[in-house]
Amino acid sequence: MAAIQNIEMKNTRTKVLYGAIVAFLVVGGIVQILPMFLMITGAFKTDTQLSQIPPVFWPTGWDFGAIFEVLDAYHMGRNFLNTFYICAGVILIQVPTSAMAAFSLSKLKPKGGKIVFLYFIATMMFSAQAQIFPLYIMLASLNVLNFKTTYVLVCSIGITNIVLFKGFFDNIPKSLEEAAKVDGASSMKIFTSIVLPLSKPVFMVVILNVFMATYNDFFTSLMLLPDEVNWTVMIRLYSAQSMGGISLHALYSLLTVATVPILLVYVFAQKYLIEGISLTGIKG
Amino acid sequence: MKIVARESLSGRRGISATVKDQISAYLFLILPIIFVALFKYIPICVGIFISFFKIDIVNLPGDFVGFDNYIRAFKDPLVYQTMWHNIKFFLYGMVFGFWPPIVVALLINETRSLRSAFRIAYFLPAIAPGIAMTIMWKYMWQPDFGLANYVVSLFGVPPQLWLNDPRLVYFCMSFPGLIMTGGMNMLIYLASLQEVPNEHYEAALIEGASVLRRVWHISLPAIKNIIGLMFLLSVIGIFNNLEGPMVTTGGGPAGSTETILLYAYKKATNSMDYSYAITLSNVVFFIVLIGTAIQQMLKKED
Repeated sequence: MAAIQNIEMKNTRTKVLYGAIVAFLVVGGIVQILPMFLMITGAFKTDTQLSQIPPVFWPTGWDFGAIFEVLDAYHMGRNFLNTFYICAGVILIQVPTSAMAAFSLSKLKPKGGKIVFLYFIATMMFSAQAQIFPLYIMLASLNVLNFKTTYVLVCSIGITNIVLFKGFFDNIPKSLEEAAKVDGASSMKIFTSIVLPLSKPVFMVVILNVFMATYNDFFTSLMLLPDEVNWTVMIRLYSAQSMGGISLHALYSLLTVATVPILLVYVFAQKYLIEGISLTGIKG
Repeated sequence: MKIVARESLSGRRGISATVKDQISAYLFLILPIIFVALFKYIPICVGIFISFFKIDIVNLPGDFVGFDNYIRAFKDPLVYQTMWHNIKFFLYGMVFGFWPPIVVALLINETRSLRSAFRIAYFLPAIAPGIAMTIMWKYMWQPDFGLANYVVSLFGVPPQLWLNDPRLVYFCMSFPGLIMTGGMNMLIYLASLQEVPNEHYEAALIEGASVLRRVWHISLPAIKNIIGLMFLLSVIGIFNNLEGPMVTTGGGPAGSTETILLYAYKKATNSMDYSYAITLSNVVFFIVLIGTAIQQMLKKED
């Protein structure tokens, strides 16, 4: 709740203070949104408009055709297919395995379960960036670089998600599973008919987390998928601008189109997205 | 007699049932255990192993060289220089990026009907793909047609070289961080601020505490732990910095923003010096590991 109480809002000094806060936030919010605004409107401006000083803030027309031409020229269709293939693969492997592992640790509690959990969470101390180098050599010597399946398998483990699932399952009352056990239900049956139906919110949060992380991933895919046919959207963005010679309109079109899926996720699943960030952001 | 028989029967069933339970419990765990071993633990061993060799990609693992790679890193002035760049990024991040999300969260928490609009505005750039926003900012700083020179010209400041100017480049690269990750951190602070019960503020108002005192004594303590945690996380992450410099400047101008991992990456890709790249990444790995271990211990003490 807010420090400024509603009853205080009547007196002038508080009103001025409140106005100042709002004004400050409006200015800051404009600065915050400006790069995104320029990026999206930039996709609808011509190259001359984009290199003009003072800048043109509002595009004169909304030419979607020019954007599609850019996407074609840079094979973005293929890049999107790769990205979505990878996202689907990682979600399909990671989410069920994490949920089942968490279920086992939380409800079945096998002997040595605590050690297994420690074995999992110890990897949260690892620097993902530094680990890529030996992983790269390992995969190169096995000749499995440049396969999307390799990437999917490498990314198919998410300890944060096991922790999230476990935290959620721990809060499901014991009496439910005990009742099922008395009726002779197997572990799998308890998982699918009792735990799963109750866990829709945590599944939504985890699926979104995995999607966002995989979609936005850059360095891992750059190392593991160096061949152009396997490039994801993010590698395309990086290579398109680092090779030079790209027109501003083309660049802004690529950036904008790459951002659209994330904006759609935001529009349709805002609640779970925000929940996921406040849950995992703190745990790091 | 009947009772005894039944008991022993159920006892036997009990034992085999527990064994079965154990097995089925581990069946649920087996895939993650294997994946974690394959892609988390084994690469560390591979990395340590390789760092003792002069690697030959055709004829693995190549010649055993003992600690030579580590001695080379220890003597390499570029290692110290690039590590200092990492620390510089951290310091700039503290000055320009660490505290504004806290202030913004405290301010947004005071707003009423506009709260969700502000939340969206400040949060949106944080979920946009990091690479896309980083590239966008690179072009905002572009000296010829970028927005930055136009904005400063409104205040009568002559055009700057921004990313090409060694004196400004750290500022230019830290400022987008404020907007991109700042939105995320703001959201995390705001989430815990909204959990503070109104009675606390009400009571403080009755006691006659001013708005500023209420923020200082009630709002701020509510997020004190998260602020501490955020600080620790950014300290731990100092040497992980790689993608930002790689995309924005490629380490330039004149290597002034090259971080340790970017240096390792260049060693691997430009000069195929994999053993040395992996030795450097091992050094980073162990620094991060020790840092996180200390953080975990501190957390337990709380």
